[in-house]
Amino acid sequence: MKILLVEDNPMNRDMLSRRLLRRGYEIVTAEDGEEALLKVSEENPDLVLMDLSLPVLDGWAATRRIRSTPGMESLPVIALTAHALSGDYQKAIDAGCNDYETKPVNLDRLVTKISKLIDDD
Amino acid sequence: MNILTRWSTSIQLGILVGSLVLVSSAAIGWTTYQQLNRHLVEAELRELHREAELAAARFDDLLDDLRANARLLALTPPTSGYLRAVGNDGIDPQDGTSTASAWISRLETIFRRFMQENPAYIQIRFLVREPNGLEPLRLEARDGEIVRISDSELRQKDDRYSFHDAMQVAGAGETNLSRLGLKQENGAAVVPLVPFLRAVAPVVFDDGLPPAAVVVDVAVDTFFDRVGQQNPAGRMFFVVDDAGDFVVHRDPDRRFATELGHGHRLAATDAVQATSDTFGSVDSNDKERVVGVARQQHALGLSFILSGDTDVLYPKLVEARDEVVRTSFFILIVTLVATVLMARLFAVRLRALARGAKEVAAGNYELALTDPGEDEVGELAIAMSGMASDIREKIDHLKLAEQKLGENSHLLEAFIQNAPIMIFVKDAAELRFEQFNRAAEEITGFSAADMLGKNDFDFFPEEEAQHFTEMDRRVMAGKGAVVVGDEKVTRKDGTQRILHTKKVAIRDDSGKLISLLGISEDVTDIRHAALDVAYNEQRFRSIVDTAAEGIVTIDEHGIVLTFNQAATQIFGYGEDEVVGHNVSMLMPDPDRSRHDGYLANYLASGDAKIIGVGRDVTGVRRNGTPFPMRLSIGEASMDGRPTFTGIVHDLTAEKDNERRLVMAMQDAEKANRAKSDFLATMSHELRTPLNAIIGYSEMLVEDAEKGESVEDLADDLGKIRNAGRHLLGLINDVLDLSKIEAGGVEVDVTAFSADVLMQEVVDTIRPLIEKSGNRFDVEIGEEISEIRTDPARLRQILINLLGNAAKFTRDGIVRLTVSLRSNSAKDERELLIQVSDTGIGIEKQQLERVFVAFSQADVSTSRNYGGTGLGLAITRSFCELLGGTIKVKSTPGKGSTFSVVLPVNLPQTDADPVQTTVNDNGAEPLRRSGTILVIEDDQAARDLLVGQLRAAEWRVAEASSGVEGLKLARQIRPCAIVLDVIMPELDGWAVLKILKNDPELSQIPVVLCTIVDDRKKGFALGAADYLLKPVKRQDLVATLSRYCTEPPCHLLIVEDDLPTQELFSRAAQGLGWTVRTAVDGGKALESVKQQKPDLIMLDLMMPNLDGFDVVDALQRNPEWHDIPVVVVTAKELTADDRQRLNGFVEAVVSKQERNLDELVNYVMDSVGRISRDNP
Repeated sequence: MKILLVEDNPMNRDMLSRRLLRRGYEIVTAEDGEEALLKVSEENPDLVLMDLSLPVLDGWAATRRIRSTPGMESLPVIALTAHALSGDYQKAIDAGCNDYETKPVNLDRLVTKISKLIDDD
Repeated sequence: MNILTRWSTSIQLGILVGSLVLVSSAAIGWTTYQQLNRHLVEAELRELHREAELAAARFDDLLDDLRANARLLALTPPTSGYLRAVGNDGIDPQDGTSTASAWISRLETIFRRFMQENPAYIQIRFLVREPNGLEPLRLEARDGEIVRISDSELRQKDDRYSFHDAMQVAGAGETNLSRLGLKQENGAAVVPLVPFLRAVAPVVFDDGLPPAAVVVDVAVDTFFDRVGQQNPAGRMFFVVDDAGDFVVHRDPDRRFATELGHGHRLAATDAVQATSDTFGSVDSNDKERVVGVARQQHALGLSFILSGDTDVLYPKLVEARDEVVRTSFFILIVTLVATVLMARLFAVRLRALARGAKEVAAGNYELALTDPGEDEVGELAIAMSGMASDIREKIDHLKLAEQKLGENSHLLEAFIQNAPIMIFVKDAAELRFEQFNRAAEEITGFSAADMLGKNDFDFFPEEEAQHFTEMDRRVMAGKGAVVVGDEKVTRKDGTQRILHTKKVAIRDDSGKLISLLGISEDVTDIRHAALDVAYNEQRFRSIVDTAAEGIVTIDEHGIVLTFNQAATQIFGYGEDEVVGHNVSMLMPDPDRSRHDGYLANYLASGDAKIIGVGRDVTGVRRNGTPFPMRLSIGEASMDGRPTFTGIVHDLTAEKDNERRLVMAMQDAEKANRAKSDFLATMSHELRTPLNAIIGYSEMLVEDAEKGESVEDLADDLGKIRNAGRHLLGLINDVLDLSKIEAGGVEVDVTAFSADVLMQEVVDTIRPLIEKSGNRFDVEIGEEISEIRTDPARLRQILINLLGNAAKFTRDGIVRLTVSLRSNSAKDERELLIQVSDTGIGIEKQQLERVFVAFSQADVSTSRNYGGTGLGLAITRSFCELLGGTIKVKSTPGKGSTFSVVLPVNLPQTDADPVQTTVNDNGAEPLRRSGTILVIEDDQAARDLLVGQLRAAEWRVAEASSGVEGLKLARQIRPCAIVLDVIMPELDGWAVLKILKNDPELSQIPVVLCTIVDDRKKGFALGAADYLLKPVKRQDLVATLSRYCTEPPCHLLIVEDDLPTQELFSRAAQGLGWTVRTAVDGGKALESVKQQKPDLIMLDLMMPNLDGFDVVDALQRNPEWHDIPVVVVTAKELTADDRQRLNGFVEAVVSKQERNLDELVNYVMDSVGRISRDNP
């Protein structure tokens, strides 16, 4: 099970990747949207955890790009963001995300969402 | 007349006519007689005059004869012969024979003959001019004889009449007459008087003979006799010379008054004037006889006067008189007889008429008077007959009229009685009622039966009756009907009515007052109704005028009829400027021209385009400015003509409000949006570090459960701490920013040395900049010296900018340039600060947003460089607070330059330095304990005091009066009372006395705060302090700090500089604290270990264990972490320092910028407040 974690904040990237690793997931990381797109095609992950406020190319745009890439239309993408106000969820779904998780991350809930998406697959 | 009428008409006429004739005859007779008399006298006078002229003419004839005779004698040949002979020695040379004596003899003969022929010639002389004169011959009549005077007599000198004298009479060779003289002998007049005239005829020859003359003297009496003899009987003849002396008079003694010396002279008589042709008497004594005098003057100066005799005239007169009398008498008799006869004839006819008249009087109107005459009597008879028949007809009419009158009288009575208007009649003499009709009874309540025969005073109140009577008298004094007008009348039942009365005086034909007629109408209801109408009108008017809405009425042509008060205020026109003009003047142009059309259209079709409820239209004020208004038009009919009432509501204010509301809403929406954005950003920014904190914590929990070693965990724990600190910095910055934006940050402007401040900042920041391998270049201009602004803000601006530069620059150069420049536009000096770096730079599109909160140039910047993204926003806010600007220039990859321009002469503020400095350092605001009670009656003054105290973090209670203040003081027991002196009812002095006399309240310190400068009294009454208004904020705060501060028991002063330590120690002890001291952190912690202090005053820079370490140590010990710490330091805190201290110390006080005394006071104040909040 390979997960691409796209996160610009090094502390958060470090923290989340280590925690997901402990849960038994294989983790690849990217620091911005462009890198995320690259990693998606290179690593071919089973799921993407996408921070939305990213430098270079933001999460929403990156998700759209993934969705418009042939073969990637159904790649599960979970938005992972500190934008936690009403409307932000819809914005994420509209961009093509399958699910949405706010920071600070509840890891159990996130794992449930991941399992759900991958199992469904 | 009475006497005459006793006799019959004939006698009357006779006497009348007789008297008339008699009088007229007498008058005619008298006139005739007088006329006759005058004519007779005039005729007599004319006659006398004629005779006088005749006499004069005759006298002249005689004189002419005399002159001719004298001349004849002078030219007789013997005269010349004698002269020739004398000149030729006695022989006449002509014939040679005749001798001189012969010629004389011849001459004598001639002379003698002349004298004989003319008896009046009384002397003739022949005179020759010789040297001594020669008189060869003189003849004289003496006693009827003609005598030649002998030569011897002729030589008597005294009797000599010289040739010279003679020639003077004669004149130039002419024969002439001398004046009348009297014959004299021996120098005296001869008596009886002989008046004479002398004629002188010169004898002139051309052949050289001597001159000679013949002189003839004539006795003029003879001449006069001859002249006078012609006069008829009864005439008297007078001659008067030019001296007025009588020359001829019937009384000879009265002649020659001059010569004889008596007074009988015409000039002396009184009846004759000196002119000719006058009437009158010659002598007053002769008055009776003299009828008239004629006077003829003569060349010799003689007047010939003739007077007639009345005896001659009278008979003629008497005869004429008698004739007149006789004729008159005859006329009288004839007239009388004729008169009597005529009178008798008339009397007969008149008697007949009289009889007829008597019959008419007796009632016989069938009379036919017959008189044959066609004269006036005849006419009279016919007229009387006509009159009789007229009378008969008139009487018939009268009878009919009388009958009708009787009927009318009843009708009139009925009219008067039943007329629906009050009618009354009073007699003129005593004003008693004679008539009082039914309406009068109804109106007054009195019955006619009561009223008749009585007057007003019997019924009406004295005052009313007086008025009625007064009016009656006035009406009767004037003429015609008088409108008395409204009168109040008290009815019988006591109620009052208003009567409108008219009165008229009734007079008989002779003008005598008979009675007074009065007509009254009960107008009570009408008047009351009119009053109601007037009241309603007034009420309506006052409503319209006080209406808040403009009310305009117009007629169907659009002409303004009324324009109320509010309308004048709305439109700016006066009422009189609009009323009478077309209402279109109140409208803007398109409406103005359309208005009449609308109106006409409405009136024609009833199409209610102009009638509407609340249309919003545009009006025009007097000054031409259009304005929105709501117009409601109502239509009403006034006297059958349509009028329109417009109610105008000025919408200007509403529209303004609406606009403001919309703007406010937009602002609010904008603010709301900004807030939402901010919250969203905040949420994001907070969640990010929290994510790390929670995530690592959960990992650590997991690790701990697994029993991982502490060393492995330390790294992650550090990350959690960093994330937490970041979060704290973020929150502090956000609070700062929000405080700035809420306007809660005050600027404390003081004068200070900018260069010193700059140097300190540079020293402080240098390690941070150089840490990243940067070079720090500083250029501070030499001109930088004392400036006036807020030093704390300036410091923060510098640190922020330099910190930023340090953050984004690695191994490069950071440069600070400070200079002064003058701003010509504002005419003041400015401080120019430039911070440039050679760091990463900012993308062009980000440049504009760098000063906006949470908009770090790149989202990734915070990841790479840290920071909250608020630093520049705060910096810009500070710049603006200080009246300055901040700009940025940047080239990505090469570096950025921030330029700050600040004015250096800000006005000094009296901001509370405690507050600003405390807030500067990002610590929580301090809350002072205790409540201060402010007693002040003036709202504004109270608000000011309360505001200042609340700003200084005190709780404040306020009372607006002394009584309320006392009540509150008992309730809340304030730590101090601020008391005003001048208050109504209970003033400050009284309140102070009561407070000080109340055992429960007497301990509360009272600070008097007043404009009354009477400190002595205040302190005498027990005031703790005395502040004079206007009170400076610092003074107020400092004063109250003294009383509203409870000292803690123990204070630990940690300070390595001993003098400073000593200073604080003493100051604190002065305030009653127990003080312990420590010179470094280690000693301090030992001291705390020994006894836990109530408060610690901590220096940061100390040897061994420094302030930060002490704070950390205190926080680590659960027993100690609640000890309040006040940091007093000269160190400029870095962000890290602050983060280390934040939340663990109560306040940070900078030692900089303050002298020691200030610092001590300030620190004590802060310490005091903190101690109260941490009991």
